[in-house]
Amino acid sequence: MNNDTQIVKGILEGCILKIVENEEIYGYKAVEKLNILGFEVNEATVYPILTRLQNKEYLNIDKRPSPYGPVRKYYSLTEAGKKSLQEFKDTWDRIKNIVNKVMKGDENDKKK
Amino acid sequence: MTKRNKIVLGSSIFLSLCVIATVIINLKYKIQNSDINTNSLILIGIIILLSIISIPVVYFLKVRKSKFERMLNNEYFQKYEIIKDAVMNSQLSGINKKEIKEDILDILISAQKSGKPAEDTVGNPETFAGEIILSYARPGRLPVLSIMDGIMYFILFIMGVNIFMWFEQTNVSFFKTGIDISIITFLFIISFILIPVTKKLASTHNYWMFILPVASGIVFVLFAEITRRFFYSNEIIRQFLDGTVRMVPNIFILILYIVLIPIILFFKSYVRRQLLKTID
Repeated sequence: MNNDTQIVKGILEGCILKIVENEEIYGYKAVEKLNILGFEVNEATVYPILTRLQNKEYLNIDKRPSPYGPVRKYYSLTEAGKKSLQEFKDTWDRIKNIVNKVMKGDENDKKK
Repeated sequence: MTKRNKIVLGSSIFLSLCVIATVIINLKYKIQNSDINTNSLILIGIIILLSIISIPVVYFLKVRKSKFERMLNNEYFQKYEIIKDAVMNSQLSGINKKEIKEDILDILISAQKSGKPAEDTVGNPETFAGEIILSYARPGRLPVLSIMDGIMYFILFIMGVNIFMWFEQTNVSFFKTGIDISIITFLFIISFILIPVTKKLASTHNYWMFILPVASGIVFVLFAEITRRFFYSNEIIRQFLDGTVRMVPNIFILILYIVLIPIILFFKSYVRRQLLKTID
């Protein structure tokens, strides 16, 4: 998957917000979760998205020492983040339906 | 020690030796012309001492690994260094830079502990650093901060040189101390061109960042000496080389310079806050 495209970055933003809504998470864990879900992303893709979401004030930060020593940031969702996640869900549902219709139409055309 | 660190330390030793050699040559001329006084000797001593001290300072600030940096293996550390240099030479605030450094260290140490290769974690470290900086601000707005920095550096250099010149001849009032037009021009070039360009080179890990400052100094001295040798009869050249300007002519200008520094720092912090609002 080409993670550099704006569409994938936008989708990743929405998915990260959802992951953070479910549980307080830190950067490396977010990468692991996304990879388990099948995104094939690395830290270089996810960390800038996390900082962007943090700077947009969608994420709260709690700093605690990691088991290895350095300070670790744990992310949780703010009210603005919850609102943005809801907007993402609505947009995603709408787009998904439209794209599905387009794709089904394409298949029907081929059958004819 | 990585190649980058060897170059950083080598450059600092070379620059320090250049300054000491210049000061000693200057001292020799002063002794020959019987133009030496106690203040000059104190000043020369201070410059030599600062030059020597600068080497351990560079080592501790730029070369020595922190406790957590030492946890990274060589493969990870090389990637980390590129990201760190790019972030530290960017226009982000000190707080943001420190925060990013901590985040990157945590991410890289966690990835290393999980056995993931550095290449898979970071990809292209320069692109990674660029993406991080972009997540804080749109690049188009950043030149404003560079100009602010330029003004600040210029004021600090002018104040520093004025104090230096005055200290050399304290019989002249501080406010009557003039600075050569050529020196003012060079300080302007350093503040508004050389420092931003060197920072840009450092952020892309280009080794010209170490050569450019020294090369610019040598080119400037050569330019001054060649024009003095061949074009000194020209009034404009004569004024440029030996004409002086009082850059701190009175107490009000001095206060203005001093007040401008915190104003610029405040303005930079305001611009950075505004930049955060422009993130897509």
